[in-house]
Amino acid sequence: MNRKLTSSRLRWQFFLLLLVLGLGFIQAALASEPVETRVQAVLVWGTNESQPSGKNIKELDAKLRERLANIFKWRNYFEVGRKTVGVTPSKPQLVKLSDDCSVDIKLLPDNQAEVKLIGKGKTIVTRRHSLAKPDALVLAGDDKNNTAWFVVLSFN
Amino acid sequence: MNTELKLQALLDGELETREVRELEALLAKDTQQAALLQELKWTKAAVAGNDVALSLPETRDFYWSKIAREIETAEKNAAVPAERPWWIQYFYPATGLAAMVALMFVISGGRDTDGANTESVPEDVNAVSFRSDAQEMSVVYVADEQGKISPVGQEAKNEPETDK
Repeated sequence: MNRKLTSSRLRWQFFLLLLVLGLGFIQAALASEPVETRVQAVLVWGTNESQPSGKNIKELDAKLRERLANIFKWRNYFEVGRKTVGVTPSKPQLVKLSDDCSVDIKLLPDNQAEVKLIGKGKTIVTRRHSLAKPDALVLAGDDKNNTAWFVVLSFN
Repeated sequence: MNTELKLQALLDGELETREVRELEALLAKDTQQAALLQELKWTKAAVAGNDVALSLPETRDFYWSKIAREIETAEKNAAVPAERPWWIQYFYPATGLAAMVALMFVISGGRDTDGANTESVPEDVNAVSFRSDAQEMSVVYVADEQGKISPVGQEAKNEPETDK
């Protein structure tokens, strides 16, 4: 009877070992598949003036507006364009946010992304951004008349 | 079986009825054998109840064989494994699972990539970068007071082109 009990335990241990190995292989297979990263790009214009009557411009959503206002000095933030794309290591994306602005997004090894901000056909900034943290990447700059532009990139 | 042995067997009650009858017939004719039987009966009666208790000394071989048996018994008892706690059967699989999870964590990109946040700009562009922990934002700010590289079109800002 004791031998029977030992045999039963061995069978259980063998079964658990197989289960662990199976889960490990599944995890390895999932990890090796390229996972698409969703990237949201928002082009924002910051000013202290009221909303202009221009086309394709609207008030920025309150959450993002508050985050920007907590860092930058401008009182009003307007959304000029917004695009969401899926990026994989083998599929970089060029996101056009306005006639003059596009963003080239590329996924790199080691959980990083490379972002190129292209303005009027010229690469203005090339940024390597770690995706290990939930940080949004904000590429920004001065605009004329004491205003500013912002390209806010969120990675999910 | 000779007659003396048969007499001894008769005295001990070990003969069958037929043999008893044959032997009694013989004793009736042979007085010498009858006397021997009588002598055996006396001897048996004298010995009965007067046996001396005799303890045989242990032989050397028997003495050592007892020690050898004791050693074998002790070794068998020591070889039987102690009852293991119930959780030990899960310990090794759980350890393997933990190691596998840790390995998968490393493989699937759990590495810290601090220091990866770097930027490059053309020579004629000044930029400063910083991080806001509170807002969870990494910022690269380009200094361009004249707004030459503004990606926001003038139409969106509703400003005349002459303001550029």
